Amino acid sequence: VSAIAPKTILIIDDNEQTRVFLGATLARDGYVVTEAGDSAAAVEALKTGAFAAILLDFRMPHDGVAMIDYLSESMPDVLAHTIVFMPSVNRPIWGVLPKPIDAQALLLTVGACAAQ
Amino acid sequence: MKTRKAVNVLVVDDDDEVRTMVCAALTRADLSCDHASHGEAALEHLRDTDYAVVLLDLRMPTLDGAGVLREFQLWGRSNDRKPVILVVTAFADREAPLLPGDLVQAVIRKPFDLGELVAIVSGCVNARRGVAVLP
Repeated sequence: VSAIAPKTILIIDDNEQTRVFLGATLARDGYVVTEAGDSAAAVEALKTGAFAAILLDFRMPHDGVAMIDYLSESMPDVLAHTIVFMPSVNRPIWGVLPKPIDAQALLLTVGACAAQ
Repeated sequence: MKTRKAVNVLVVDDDDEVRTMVCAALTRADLSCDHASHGEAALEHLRDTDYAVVLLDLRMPTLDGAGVLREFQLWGRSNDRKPVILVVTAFADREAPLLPGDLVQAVIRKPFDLGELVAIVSGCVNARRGVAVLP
């Protein structure tokens, strides 16, 4: 993961308004953001690109669990740089952020994750 | 059928100074802006106008921000007409966990950096252009 550009972020969230907010906030901080509205789009993005941090909404219908399972089995290094929107999951992820998103905490958490 | 208006941002705050300052800054950034000083007025705006972004204070007289969210949630508006809702509060640690995470996108802590706030709101409006402004 060290060769990945540090300002590249993948957002996986079925809530369009949340993707809009995350994209605007992270772009303001200099990040290059890719958006995926479901796990199928996320898998496609991960096949073609590398990301310094992944923001994943666990509560997408079916998709959150499926995405965690997919990353756990196929891309554990990506899972290790994944920040999940929910209380917690019993997997080796980078960290969790609650919703609604605290704008300050978002930038601090993403910054720390992307810098690793 | 009544045609809905389209305005970029609704600023809801009972503090006259905050409301005026934020609206002026948004207008300088070429964004159209409505404002309301309490929840009932905010709901009046939301009934007949599509906003790309709503900046919502929580602690207000008459009807507070939580009341606005409860009422707005009942309307069942289609996804492409829902605004990005950003709650602006000085009590984020206490109040954020009580907010509906599927309706409120983010919490902005008071005091906030006005330039940062305008930049984020502008980014949201630009991303939603062609969606939130449909008649």
